[in-house]
Amino acid sequence: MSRFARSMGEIERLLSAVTAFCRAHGATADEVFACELAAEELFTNFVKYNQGGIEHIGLDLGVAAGALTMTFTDHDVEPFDPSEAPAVDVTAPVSQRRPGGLGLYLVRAYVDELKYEYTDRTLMVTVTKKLEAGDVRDPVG
Amino acid sequence: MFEIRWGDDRTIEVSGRFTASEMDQAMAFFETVVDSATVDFVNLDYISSAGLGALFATHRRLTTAGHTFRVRNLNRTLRELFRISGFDRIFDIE
Repeated sequence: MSRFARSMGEIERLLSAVTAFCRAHGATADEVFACELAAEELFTNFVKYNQGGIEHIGLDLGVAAGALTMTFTDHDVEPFDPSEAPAVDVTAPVSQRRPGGLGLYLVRAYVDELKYEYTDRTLMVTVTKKLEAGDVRDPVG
Repeated sequence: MFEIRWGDDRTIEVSGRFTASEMDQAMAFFETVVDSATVDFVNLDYISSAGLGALFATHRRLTTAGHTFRVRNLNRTLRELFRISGFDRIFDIE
């Protein structure tokens, strides 16, 4: 597991890790973009909404059955159900659009699966992105 | 590495990766924009919701004051991001 300090200053290191992993497993440029975007949006959510957290934010990257997975883990966090987040109406007239709330909307739009688990004040968020290339194998595992 | 600067003819050139960690730099720049302008994405590789939020706030401020705030030269990936986020309904895209 990679660990990242609870700081926006970690985003570049986070994205570098995600990008390298995606490319190593044959992801297309669009798939790399989708994973980078999902990683940044989820990470910034953890940083913003658990500012009192003292532990680093964990990230596990994996590949199986033709899909990449990213699992973020945060400790000592309040329950958070993203399905209860206010919906974003991207078709609303510009006068009715409000800033914010777009991050989780984009994560849902760009990945194939978004899964949340909450146990003993630990939140794990896993996103799955299927690869066009199909059944790639993890050269390490 | 993210950069934002004035180009020619009221064009704002952005380049690199516009992440949430670049918000302070970007907003400090955008707050100096007080007239119509166009943001040129030709050298921008990546933007997240944070960057989109900065563009949205600046668009709202300038258009409310009667100015325009456009974007141009989005690559295919970023054009799709604008479509998915509904920003193609907000911005004039050249």
